[in-house]
Amino acid sequence: MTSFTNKNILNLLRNLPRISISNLKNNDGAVKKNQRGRAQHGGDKHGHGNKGSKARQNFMRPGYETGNNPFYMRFPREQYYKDHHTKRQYPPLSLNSLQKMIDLNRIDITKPIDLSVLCNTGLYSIKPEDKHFGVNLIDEGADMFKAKINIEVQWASESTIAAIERNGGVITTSFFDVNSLYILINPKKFFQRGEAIPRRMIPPEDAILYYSSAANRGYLADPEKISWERFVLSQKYGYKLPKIEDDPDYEMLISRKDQRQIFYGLEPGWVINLKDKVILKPIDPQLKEFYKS
Amino acid sequence: MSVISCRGFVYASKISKVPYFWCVNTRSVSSKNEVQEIETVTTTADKVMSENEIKEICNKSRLNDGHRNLVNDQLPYNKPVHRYHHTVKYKRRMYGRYGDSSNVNPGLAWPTASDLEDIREYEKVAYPLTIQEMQQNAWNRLECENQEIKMRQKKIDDNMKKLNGWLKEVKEKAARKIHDAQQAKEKKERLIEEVKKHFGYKIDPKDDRFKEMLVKREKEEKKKIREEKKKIREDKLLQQLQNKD
Repeated sequence: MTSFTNKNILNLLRNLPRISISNLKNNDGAVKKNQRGRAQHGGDKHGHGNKGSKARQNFMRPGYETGNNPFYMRFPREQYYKDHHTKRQYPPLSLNSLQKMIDLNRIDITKPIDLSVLCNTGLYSIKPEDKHFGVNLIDEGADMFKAKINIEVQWASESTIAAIERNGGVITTSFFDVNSLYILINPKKFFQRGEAIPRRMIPPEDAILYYSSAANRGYLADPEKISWERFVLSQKYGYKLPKIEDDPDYEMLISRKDQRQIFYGLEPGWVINLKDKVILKPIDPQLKEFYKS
Repeated sequence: MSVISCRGFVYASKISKVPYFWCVNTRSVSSKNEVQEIETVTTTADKVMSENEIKEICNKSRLNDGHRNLVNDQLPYNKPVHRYHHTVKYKRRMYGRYGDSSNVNPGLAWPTASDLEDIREYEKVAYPLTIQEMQQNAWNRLECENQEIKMRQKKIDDNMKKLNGWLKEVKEKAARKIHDAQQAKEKKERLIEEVKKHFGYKIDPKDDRFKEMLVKREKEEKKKIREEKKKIREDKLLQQLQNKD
């Protein structure tokens, strides 16, 4: 008896269509109808009275006082955020996280570090379209910082400079204009454009003093003044300045970009082809002169 | 041979009786079907196909040529197809991506003489000052600001030195004002008193007679003062004359 019923049910199951989206039905109450009825289906005033501003749902913008001098405009005030959107921004990177990147082999410290290396770690990124002009290396974790590096940043405080120089490193603050910045943060994309590397442009007038100051290790400062400032800072913070001249990595530590240069080792005017792995250099004297100016 | 229709698909096979659910399964596991018979067809090629023809047959991607080339990391178009394929920007890009295989002259990568002129003109406007000039300007501006601060501080210092004197002056002025007011009041009271004495009874100060009397008194007093002054002057003259003698 039981076997007979089972067989029937099995046959029934076999002959039934499979469950699919086309033969499924929504649960009761899962689909809600539009609450507001129209016309004869309860469409009258909907709790908004008869005619006038309220029935037409004429909502005024916040602060508007129907023609009065609005309260928020009634008194003169100092705009704290005036011109905030036009100012240069330098997203911060702490010495702590820089040390972590170095410890986790995200950064190779046998070579000079610049913004493109930092962006290549995948842990730091900047957006030039959001008025970001590079990295601000902040002194968080300065006491723990132990790496000997040659780093190029766009902004650095005095204590940051001290933390890097105490470990025998070198720091330079340098400015990149927006075009150079786009090139620097994603070199591959630029090389695939098949254009010659442009010259780096000079900083704007309000940043010129920062980047030409030896105390800030600016890239436009006199190297002799910088070496003096290195000594002064070591005296101020009370550490013994390691001699770079005796360092085995002397060559790496003293390598610096030219003020027109965007990449280490690549000069403006060169074309890099990643597919053929070739570097093309201009020979036209006019071009040479242009890229040297 | 029977035809079994199942959910829109038509399967024609040599299977005589296939249950419904097997039919659905045939799409994926037809090889497991034991009843199925395998027909083997042997064909003989009359002529050997060329490499290109084989390639064409092997291309089952259904991509268009450009996209297929892109996927295979090759130059998408050998000949220009769209209007923008004639632009320098596109050609540069093709050279940047596909190198020499793009058949683009790499000389396009650099700006032409007229481009250089344009760039120079732009830079002249965008960067009118040299670094040295900008530094000089910045120093001058800084100096100006410092000068202004210094001037203001000096002014404040000077004023602070004078502050005690000014305070004293203000206090004296206030005291003098009070003193003068007091004197004027006293004088008025005195006059009223004198007028009262003159009439012998209390008289309202708003009365016309009182006012007349007051004017008279004032005139007399002025006369007195004038005479006194005259006298002093005469005395002085006399003294001078005597001294000369």
